[in-house]
Amino acid sequence: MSTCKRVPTALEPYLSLPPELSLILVTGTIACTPTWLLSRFAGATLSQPIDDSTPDEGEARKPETAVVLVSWMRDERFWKTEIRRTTGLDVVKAESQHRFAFVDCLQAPIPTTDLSQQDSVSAGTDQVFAHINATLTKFSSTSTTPRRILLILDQPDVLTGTGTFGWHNLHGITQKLRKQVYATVINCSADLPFISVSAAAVKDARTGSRTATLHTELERHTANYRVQQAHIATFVMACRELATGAAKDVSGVLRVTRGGGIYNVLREDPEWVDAFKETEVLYLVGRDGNVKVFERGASESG
Amino acid sequence: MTIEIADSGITDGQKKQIAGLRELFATTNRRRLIVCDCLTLLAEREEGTTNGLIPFLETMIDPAASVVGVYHTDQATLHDRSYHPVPLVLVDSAATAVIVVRSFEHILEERRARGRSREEPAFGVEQHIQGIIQGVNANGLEGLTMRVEHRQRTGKAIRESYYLLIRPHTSPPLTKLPGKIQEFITLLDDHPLLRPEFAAEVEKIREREENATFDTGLTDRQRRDRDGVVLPYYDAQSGMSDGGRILYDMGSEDDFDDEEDEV
Repeated sequence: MSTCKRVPTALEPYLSLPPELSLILVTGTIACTPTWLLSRFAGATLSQPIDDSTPDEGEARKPETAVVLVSWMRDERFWKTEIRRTTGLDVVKAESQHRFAFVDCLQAPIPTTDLSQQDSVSAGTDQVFAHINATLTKFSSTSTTPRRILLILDQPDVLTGTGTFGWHNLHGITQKLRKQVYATVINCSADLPFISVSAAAVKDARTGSRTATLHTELERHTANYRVQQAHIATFVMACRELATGAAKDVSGVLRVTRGGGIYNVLREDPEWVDAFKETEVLYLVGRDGNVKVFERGASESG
Repeated sequence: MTIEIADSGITDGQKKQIAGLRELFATTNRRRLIVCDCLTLLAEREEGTTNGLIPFLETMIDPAASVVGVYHTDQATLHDRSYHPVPLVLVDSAATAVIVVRSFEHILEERRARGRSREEPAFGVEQHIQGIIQGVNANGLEGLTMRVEHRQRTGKAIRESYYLLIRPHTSPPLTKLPGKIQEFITLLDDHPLLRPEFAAEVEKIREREENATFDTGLTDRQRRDRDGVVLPYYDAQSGMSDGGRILYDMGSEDDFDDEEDEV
């Protein structure tokens, strides 16, 4: 299958469907946008063949896999083109088979909230949750076979950035959404201004100073949301620039680390945890959408 | 039982649940342990003029209850009104024991840096690198370290660092050392990788396992050959019993100066 070829072998273990209720945090920076990674998550999940055979008596049918992609930053056309271009997958066909759905949050109205008013915030969170959940429920009711939905949230952090919600409100929404699906991927940007207040908080806790209070409330909401997701994520995939500056043959560095949620899996699926390895590799996104992944110091390959 | 605190603070339903629990407990005199896995989130919820921690703790705590709460220090609090203590200070002052959990690998890296008089490394957000939220080797699967401060009723505080074993070790440096950790909890300084008597051996195993694709050690023959190499000017170093002296051969164009050149 052509789709299998396009997933770099080094990344395959991370892109295949994780244990149930997993959260995968994908972060990027302004120069290293991880859309290539998200489209491969979608591609790897959708490329699993559908079990067409009628199951034997008493034998449960193998669960189908499906992807729901929710984006706050990019529109439907971008994502469909990106997934087709990078994974060779027929998104329209997947959509008609009810294996792929897109929820547009870019053009959907962002609720107007007053952060000091509890009722106004609750109404806002309900509105966002309902907008996404409508697709999720419709999606799962169209199929008779049990299905494993991978929910991909592309930059929900926009909602803290616009001052619509506090980080704990947004965390509440994503937690509620996670319960509706098999596993979740969240993409957030992690440029230095978005996370530097966390470093100040760590320092404050150690020294008893109050340097974090010098940062704005917006910075704190922004950083706290990301850090909270890393605390509960099964693993974190972080794309960032090379420390030595831009290079022609390297797009960026991908670091995969265990998140705080790994301990939940350790209890239920120790084999998966044993097979999971932390890694740091370089990657190159080609003009044709292909990605090459290689070790530091090695030349590009596979 | 699990009580999930809703997004908009403790709802009336949950208050009823908690009240029901309290009634149940009041009829028995059983001791109880209440675990809250994220105090940080709770602290963000405003309850009137104060943060959500205080009302929560007030409803939960009584003499028969012990509360264990997790507070993430890498999250900046939103409650920073000048004359109020921040939530972390608040829970820290009220706590009878404070346990600071850290990755064992990170502690190890720090000690190695200190041993070589290098700057101690930072991890995760503290590295101040664009795009890095988490450092490598965080959330170790084999064990973690805890710095425990136990505040006794007498006012005395006992501080000690421990190693908490999560599951038996399988990775190379530890499995090859004579000392093994069997206990669920040991003193951190008793950990084989931190014991000074094993330091040299650990270093050797690490170098072999991690860094090089070739053997950095020497065979006996290589060592003998290396010892046999005669370095240039090696003979000049022997037979100089009269202290430090500059050996200098005068060239033909050099003038001899009585005042400066006293050979």
